[in-house]
Amino acid sequence: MTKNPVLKPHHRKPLKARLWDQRYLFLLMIPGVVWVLIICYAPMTGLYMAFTNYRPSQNGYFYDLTNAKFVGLQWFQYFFRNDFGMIMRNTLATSLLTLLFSFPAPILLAVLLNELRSLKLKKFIQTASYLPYFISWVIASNIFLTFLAGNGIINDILISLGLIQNRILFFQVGPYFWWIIAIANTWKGMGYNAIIYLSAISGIDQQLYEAAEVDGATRVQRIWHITLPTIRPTISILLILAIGGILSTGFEQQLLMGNNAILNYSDVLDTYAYRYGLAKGMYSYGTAVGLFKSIVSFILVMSANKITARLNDSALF
Amino acid sequence: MKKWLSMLLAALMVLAMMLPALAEESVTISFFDKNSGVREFTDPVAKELEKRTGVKIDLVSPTGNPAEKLSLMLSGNDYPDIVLMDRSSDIVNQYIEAGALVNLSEHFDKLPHVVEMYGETLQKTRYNDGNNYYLSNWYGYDPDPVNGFICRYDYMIEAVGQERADSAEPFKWSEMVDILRKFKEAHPESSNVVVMSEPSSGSINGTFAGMNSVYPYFAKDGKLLFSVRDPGFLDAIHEMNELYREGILDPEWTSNASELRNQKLSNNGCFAYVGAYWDTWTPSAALMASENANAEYLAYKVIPDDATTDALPLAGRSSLGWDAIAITANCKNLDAALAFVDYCASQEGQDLLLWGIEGQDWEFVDGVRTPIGDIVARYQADPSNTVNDTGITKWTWFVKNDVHPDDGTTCRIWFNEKDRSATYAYQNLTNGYYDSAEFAALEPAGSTIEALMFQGVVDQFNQYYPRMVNAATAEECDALYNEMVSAMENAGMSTIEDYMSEIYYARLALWGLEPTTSGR
Repeated sequence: MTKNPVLKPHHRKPLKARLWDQRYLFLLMIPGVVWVLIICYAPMTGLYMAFTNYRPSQNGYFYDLTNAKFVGLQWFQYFFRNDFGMIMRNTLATSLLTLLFSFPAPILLAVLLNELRSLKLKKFIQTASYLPYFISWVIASNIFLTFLAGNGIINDILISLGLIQNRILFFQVGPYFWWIIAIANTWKGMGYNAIIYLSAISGIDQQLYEAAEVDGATRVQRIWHITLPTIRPTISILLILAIGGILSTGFEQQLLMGNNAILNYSDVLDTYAYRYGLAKGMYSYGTAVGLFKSIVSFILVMSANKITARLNDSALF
Repeated sequence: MKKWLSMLLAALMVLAMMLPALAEESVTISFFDKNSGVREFTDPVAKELEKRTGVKIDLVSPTGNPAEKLSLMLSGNDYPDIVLMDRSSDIVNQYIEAGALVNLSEHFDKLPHVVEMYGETLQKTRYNDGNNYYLSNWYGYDPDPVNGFICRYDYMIEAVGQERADSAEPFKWSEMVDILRKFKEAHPESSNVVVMSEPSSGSINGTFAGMNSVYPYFAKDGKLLFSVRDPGFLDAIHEMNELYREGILDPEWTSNASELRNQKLSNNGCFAYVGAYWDTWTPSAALMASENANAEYLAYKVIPDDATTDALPLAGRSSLGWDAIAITANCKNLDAALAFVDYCASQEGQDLLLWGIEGQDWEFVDGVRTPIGDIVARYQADPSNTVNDTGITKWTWFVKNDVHPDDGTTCRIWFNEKDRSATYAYQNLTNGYYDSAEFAALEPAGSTIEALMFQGVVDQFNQYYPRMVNAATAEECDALYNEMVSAMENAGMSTIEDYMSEIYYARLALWGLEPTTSGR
């Protein structure tokens, strides 16, 4: 009988030595770090603009920024006193409706596609549902504007089915606009998001399905007890991301499909910041609105992450 | 051998690199034109302009929204040598305040043609420090007709007979409404009897405003007020609302972008368009090709029933022009830019840009400028392609709205011979011109609370205007009007009025003018 060798306690090398050992990895990392610093962090210095009265001049950006008159929270106060309520209502209404449709839709599509036996049909549906993702909002908006016009195909169908008597002016009634944007967002992103769920489903061990089949589980039971629980981590992560982006409810679609008659329903944080900040050259005010949006989005992501971690044991951070 | 070959190749390479520099005599000037779209500077007029000035133009395209591009260029100090921007927008003042524009007053000795052609316009376009930082585009008095009821000629003949349809006598409002009602009854399937121009930011439809003597702002008792306070404003809204409630006005007028509007106007069953007479040129061309030669939209004047005069402000045009063209502080070759500007603004430069190349597109016949061949006919049949191919009126820079002083011909070749649309507009839309220069660029600019307030007031107007027109009853329309005025008040309307009044009356004093007041 041999004696077990006593394992010596592992002594870690000093930090300097470890860094030196990994010097080539750090070298490889440098371009990435530089890129992140320049592209992601350096522009953040511009956030200071939200607290100043920034006016461009011939002296260059940094000079103008550092020498701009400090106005504290003046722009935030103006925003909260005036348009905040309307803009937040529109942003949240559009976002929550979008979430309501666009979150379950790709899960449903992925599950249904997974159940399809005909490979050709599966591929066709997958491609067809994926295509809208590649269509620009300019074209997509025109499709919606034409289909939903007073003399458009949707009104024709509703009238021919006897569901309505007078044509509905979809783009003249404010609250309709929220639904239209939610449906348009879902239509455009459903196929793309379904791919993520399909890849998660493809990783499920087939033996689970076979065992369930032997036990007499129906198809619905297999979906409910195997497919959905297995892709739950993916669902959680996408939900966190969706909640984080709740204030990014869209931009081009609102600009392209909206009109003055429904501006008080179509104007959301992004379009508002754009109209004032860029189109009107009120840089400081636009930055203040954008910064407010970033802060709220950050809080939302962190909260959603915490809640999901507590409920599901899976979280992003 | 190998060594010699290498040396020969190296020498050739050096020579090839130097050749363009040796051959390069012309200067390149970058030019941002907010109206240029994605056009290329390669047509015959462009080449001739480069040849005559020795300046190569590097056109910067306004991809997307030009206002956004101008704003971004200013914030990054990366604007090109010359910028053409909207004169009525506060962006011009932002550029001046940022020190981004060259003070042209200091260089008038190098701009003799500019001084000669612009004359008193230079006095009126000075900044508040007394200097000129830009030159106007489309400046000068321009009594061209603009707004009216642009009706299908064949339908008009059917409705009122040939003689009345050809007459220059204006229609009374009730008379026109009656014609529209009868047409609607005869064509119950038509949902677009009258198509109206889409709402422009901060103002109502120009035809209805003009019919009710509503100007861009309302001067009263020494104060400049927003036009919503003009008594004629609500009358104009009532008229639009009446058409809407009777199902005559296209219910989707507010969401008709120009493409959709043209599509509706090109459909059979649309009687009229309310707006500028040139807006209907494309649908008219399509209708005349598909329907009949008289299926063309022609301009008619409509006056209120109680009108005592037909002098109505239907054609507000600023003698100070639509655009501002300026040389920026980024221009490395100022002398070349000044020479280029001076040439373009000269009569010879204007003739090249707006009439084309002498001897090729036009010639002097008995001392009168005369188009060569069928060039005008080609334009009338296919305006956009003819402009693109020839380059004539493609680059509309430093344009002076005037006839040639030597032969009385128009400043643009195309309008020397009027087509039927222009003939009717000039015949019927008379007595409508007023100079809107006094109302231009009064709005607070830049990053100020006043500028934010102004935008808030305009936003309220933009939201309520379509709702008032589309109100289900006249009472609802009035209630919405009151709601709008109070919303505009809450957004700071009175503060902005005080701000603008100060500038407005100082301007009038400087120009020696009396305020333009509503006729009501």
